[in-house]
Amino acid sequence: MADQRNVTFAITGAGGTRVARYVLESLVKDDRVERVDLIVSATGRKIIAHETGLDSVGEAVEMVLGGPSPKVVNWDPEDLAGGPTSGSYPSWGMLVVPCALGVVGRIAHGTANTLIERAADVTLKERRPLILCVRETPFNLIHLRNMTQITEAGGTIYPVIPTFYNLPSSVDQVYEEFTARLLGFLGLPQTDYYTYSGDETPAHRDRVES
Amino acid sequence: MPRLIVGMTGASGAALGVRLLEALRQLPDVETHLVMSRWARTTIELETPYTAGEVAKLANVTYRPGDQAAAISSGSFQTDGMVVVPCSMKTVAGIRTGYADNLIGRAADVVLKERRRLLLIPRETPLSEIHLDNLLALARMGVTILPLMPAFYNNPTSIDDILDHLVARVFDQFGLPAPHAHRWQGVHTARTADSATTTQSTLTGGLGQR
Repeated sequence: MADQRNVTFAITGAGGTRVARYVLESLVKDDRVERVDLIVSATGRKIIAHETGLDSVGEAVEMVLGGPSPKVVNWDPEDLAGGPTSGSYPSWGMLVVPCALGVVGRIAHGTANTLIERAADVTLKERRPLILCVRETPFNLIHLRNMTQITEAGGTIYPVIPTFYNLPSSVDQVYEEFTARLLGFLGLPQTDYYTYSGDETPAHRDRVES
Repeated sequence: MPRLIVGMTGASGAALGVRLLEALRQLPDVETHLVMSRWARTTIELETPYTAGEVAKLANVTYRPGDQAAAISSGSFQTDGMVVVPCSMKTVAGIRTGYADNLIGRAADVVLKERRRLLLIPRETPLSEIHLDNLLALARMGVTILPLMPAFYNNPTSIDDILDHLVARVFDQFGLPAPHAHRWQGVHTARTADSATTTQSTLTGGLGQR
């Protein structure tokens, strides 16, 4: 299919690697996605291992998805000569989930010390979508300044913040909803997510009916 | 006696504001002064099992948002600071520019001029350049920006876990005791702690029990 897209996907060392798994699973099963270039930072590996109880060695895709996927290409974050280091390498854009604030700082200042920051640098110079799902609270002044700078350069700061108007009843539901919203933002609209309509929530309905 | 102003505005995430008020109520020494904006009342009724009237009763004193002559409109009325939860992007913009068109904006203005602690809990994602610029300007003025972002290191298994953890982080900001808070102490400690204890619901019973 001609309009299939390649997505560069990085996982860095912040909490929320479970969300990364949801997003990567959704990308892999989406017919509109041809290939995912996966880059997991060294700290990202440690946190996946911590959050899943798995070993932190082996192929990145197996750590995240539990097995290989023909759609996913693994890149070593230390390989600054890897495909995503060049604008000539085909990529629709780049997602970082979760995005550590140190990575935000390095991207904001063009400090391309690993393939993740370099790929982000390339994404910005090629004016492709760059979406950083930060997981941090509170934000300090440095975080906010760096995030503002990336936004000025054309990137999108997309914090891992749940919605409540859909009245989530479980943690999984929070992250499924977040994933669906994020994919919709990428131009891959999902059919099974809640759309705010102004008045229809279960709590509201219960009260109206009782 | 600590005296806190709590503002609630019309962003999603009313459940956290309610949870915070419930938790503050458990501290007999803390006196709470609440202002709910018009759209906060709507959001409370859409997103939580409470009516705005029930939420008002959780505070020691509740003011109408149009009451610009309230005690908290003056710096002579001493407080330990203010938290706005959830904090809409309109309120962020209003506080940033000093546009005190309701009591929440005015109280925040007073907290800033008196150099007291101001904590904003935005619930918005993604963040536009306007949002980030306003948040950055406020951070520069000493405001703490604590987005409503769940943590993962506490292994939340329910929405209550997510909210309780955030309430504990708000308590931390004001030096209030949060003895049951789950605190990150490195990967090894976290592993041991996870296998030794189960996650406790830290604060009072609330939304999840209804």
